[in-house]
Amino acid sequence: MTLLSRLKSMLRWLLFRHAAEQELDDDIQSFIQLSAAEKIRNGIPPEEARRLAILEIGGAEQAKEQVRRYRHGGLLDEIGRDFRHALRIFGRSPGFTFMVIGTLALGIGANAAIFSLMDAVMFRSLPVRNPENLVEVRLGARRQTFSYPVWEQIRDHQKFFESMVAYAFSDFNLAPNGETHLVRGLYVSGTYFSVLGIRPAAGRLLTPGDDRRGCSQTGRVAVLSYGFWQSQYGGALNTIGQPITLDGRSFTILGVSSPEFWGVRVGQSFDVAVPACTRNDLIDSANASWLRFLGRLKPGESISEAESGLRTLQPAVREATLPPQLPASRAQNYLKEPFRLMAAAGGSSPLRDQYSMSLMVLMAVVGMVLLIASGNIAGLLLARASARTREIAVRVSLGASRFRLIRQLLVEAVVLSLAGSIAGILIARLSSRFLANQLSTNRGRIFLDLSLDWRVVAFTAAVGIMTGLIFGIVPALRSTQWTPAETLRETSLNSTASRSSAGAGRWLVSIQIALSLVLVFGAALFLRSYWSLATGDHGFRATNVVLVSASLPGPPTQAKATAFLQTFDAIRALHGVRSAAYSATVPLGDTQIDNHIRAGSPVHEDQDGDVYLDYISPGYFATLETPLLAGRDFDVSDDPNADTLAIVNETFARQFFAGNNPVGKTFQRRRPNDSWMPIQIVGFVKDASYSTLRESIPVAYFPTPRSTRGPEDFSLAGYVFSIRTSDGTAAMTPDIVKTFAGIDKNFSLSIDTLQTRVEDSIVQERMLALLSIFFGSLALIIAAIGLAGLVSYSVSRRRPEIGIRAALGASPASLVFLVMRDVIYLTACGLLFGSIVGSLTARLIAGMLYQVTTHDAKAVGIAIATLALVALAAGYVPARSAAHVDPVTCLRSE
Amino acid sequence: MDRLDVPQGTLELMILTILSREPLHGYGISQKLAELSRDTFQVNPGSLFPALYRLEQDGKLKAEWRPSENNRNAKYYKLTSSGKKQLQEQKQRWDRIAFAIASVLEGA
Repeated sequence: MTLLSRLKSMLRWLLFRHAAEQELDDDIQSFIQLSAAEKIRNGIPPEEARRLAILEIGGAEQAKEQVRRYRHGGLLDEIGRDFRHALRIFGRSPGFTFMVIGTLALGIGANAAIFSLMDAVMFRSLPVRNPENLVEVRLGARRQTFSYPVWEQIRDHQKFFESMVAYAFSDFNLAPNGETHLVRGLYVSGTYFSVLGIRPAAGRLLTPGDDRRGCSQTGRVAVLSYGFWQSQYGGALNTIGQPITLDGRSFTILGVSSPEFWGVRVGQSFDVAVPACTRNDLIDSANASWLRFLGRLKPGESISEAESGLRTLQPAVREATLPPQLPASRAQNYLKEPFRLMAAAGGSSPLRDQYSMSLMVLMAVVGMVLLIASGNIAGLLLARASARTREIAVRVSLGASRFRLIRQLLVEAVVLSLAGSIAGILIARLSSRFLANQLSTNRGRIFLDLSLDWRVVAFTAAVGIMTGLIFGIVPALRSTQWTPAETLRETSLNSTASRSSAGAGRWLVSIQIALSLVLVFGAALFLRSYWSLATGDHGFRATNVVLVSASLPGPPTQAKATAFLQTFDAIRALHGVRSAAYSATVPLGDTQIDNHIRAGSPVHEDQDGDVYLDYISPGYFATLETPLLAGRDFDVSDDPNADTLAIVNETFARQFFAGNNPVGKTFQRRRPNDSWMPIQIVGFVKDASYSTLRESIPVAYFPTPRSTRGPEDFSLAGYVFSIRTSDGTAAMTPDIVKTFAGIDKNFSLSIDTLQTRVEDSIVQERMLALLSIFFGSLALIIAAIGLAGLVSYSVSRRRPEIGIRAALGASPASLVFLVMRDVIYLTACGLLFGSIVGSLTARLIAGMLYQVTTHDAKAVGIAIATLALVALAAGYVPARSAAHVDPVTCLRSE
Repeated sequence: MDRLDVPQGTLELMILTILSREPLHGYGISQKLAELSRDTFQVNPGSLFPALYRLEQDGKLKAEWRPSENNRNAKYYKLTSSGKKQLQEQKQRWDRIAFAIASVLEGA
């Protein structure tokens, strides 16, 4: 029989069921009548004949049921009926249903929320045309950025890509001067939008014609993102053609990109995109690596084919773009490592590297919470099932098979969990956005595309069905294992339920306690780790320090150097400022400067290494309250151009001077022209965080130059002023801004506080700690409810036994202990099992912890004590009722 | 002698054989089966109806409602051409089985 006709008969059955049912009924009735008629002809009285005929057919309903089972689509139909039956049953006990669905919605919602984040960060493809053909160009294992000359060479000579794009991230300042108003910008090649397949929402997008050398003089143009257009311009159509000021230069707005396009890097959307050629200070520099390349593979081409093509081109690119003044020692390493291509369908993202582990941990956590919640629901269904044994027994006697009944009970469970899933998705929609916002900081807004996609829906549905099967299977097996006669006899005698039904609940509770212990232990570890980071000594004191990143437009000049010095003096003279300093970067700053040095006495070639640098004004350590261990701070009386003095930190001394006091010693620093410059160490300070709170790295501090040292003097581009105020920081901001403007009205300023930087740098740890505490507590509450439920059920079940004991003179305390003995046993089993699982799983998160070991005694102690206390309390409340059992009522009811 | 249940897997063959002579209703088929098997086989309606509906669904049988001998409407089943083909095939298969079983029994 063909599939088509099979489908047709299935459809007919589903659509015209009523007619088909009627025909079946008529057919069977006619059988009975024909059979009865024959019996009457043989002399049997009509009444008797009819009864015999029905008996012969074995029951009209059972015969019909047999036929239905054999129909195509019969199974589907039966499950449909199971669904309707389940809905009717739940409609009858709305309170129970509401509670179960609510619990499930929370559990499944938490899972769906974390999964949406994982999906957005780890799994989603870029919002571009055919993302699977996109590859990213790298040099060697790590380098991802290249110079504009390299871009031109590859773009003009490559034959292995269908097309290519180049782009670079950059913040643009919308404000002409004063406090900065930064927006997220992109420098892009003219091919960017067309190759990625992005349509304009208004106006037009960039074309290769907009990206030509010299475009910064003639007609600078810009494209807005849809979100920026909406928020900044209210989506007004006359925006097109208007000018926009970016970093002090005027651009004409050409158009707006489509709403669903947010960029090619997860976590980072863009506001404004301008052609790469407008970066006229960089396009001729072979030294500046700033552009990232994406290529689109030709149809049918493999990554390795394109990669070998690119490598063939590499010598020519190298030859054509070699920077002319590069010292020979560095020239031989220039573009030496082979080009590599990486699939870029998901886009590259530092966010992904940063958050994948945390998200997986959270996924495991919410998974466990859901398991614990399933345990409670299984317990509830188990209790309900024993109340329904009569219904089930009746159905068995009417010919339902055990398989059929198990299916019915599982369908009921799945109906519950699907309803929970639907509510869960709604919860997830709200909470995942909330969670993503928690990860954004003042300086780093994180954008995640959290719209529903098939992965989230499929995941939630799968979790829902799995959960339903998990919590449904035990009650389903339990309640269908007796023969109807046994059950009917048992229930009709109103005796106690079979012993085993409580047994299943017992191990469920033990597992719940074990899982809760794992979660509470994990939460304790994350909390302690976060606490060490947030309150530990990082070599500076963050409270009451205002940070002002100030820059002046244009190349370094003596006037700029003087402006910074004058501002420094003016700020220190402000009322309410206790001390101030300015430096190239600050702890947890955005800038990292490194340099190659060699040290040792006498200077030894192989005692060299990379260190991090900062250029600081006098008073920097006093302002940040970084202790000076030996030697002295820089001083205004130092030679104004003394760039041969340095202050180093503890790690520096450990690495290059065996931990001895390095004051008075010397090292050599490599200059950009490859010569070595001798440096004298005048001070020795405690380690203070450089770019993160976690690591200790060698740092050398040099004095900020007080005059310009020529065009290579990048450090004059801008400085961060650290200002320690005597009280609140916010109140000082207007005075500070006024002071800067008073010295030079062209200052661009961006203002925050050191405290914010500390908080921003541990936002991930804070989220992990908060969420693990939240879910740990939730697990604890759920497990406690489960335990309390089990104990009160067992007290009611053992009422006759307790009554007899009470009648025989047992004291109330001993009766409570009788019940509590069980609780203690279950708790102990759970704690033992949980400790084993906990110590194994803790190893997985060891790398995420700061100054806390995975067998941290306090965390272990806190977790076990919390669990034991909560479990005993949850057991004690219902156990107390055992003491109040009245032997007389109890024995009478037997 | 007690009646026997129809051997597993042969009910369809018997139904098709009976219907190849004349169209019959369900009760008629069960009576005919008893008569032809000299009261050896009895078919339970719980098995007969599913078999009939399955054959009808698969297009081996066609049914029509018409008055029966007691002037009430009954569902008469009739072989289709596809049903006739099926009967041929099953009959040949059965002949081979019967022959094989007989050979084994005689040879032993």
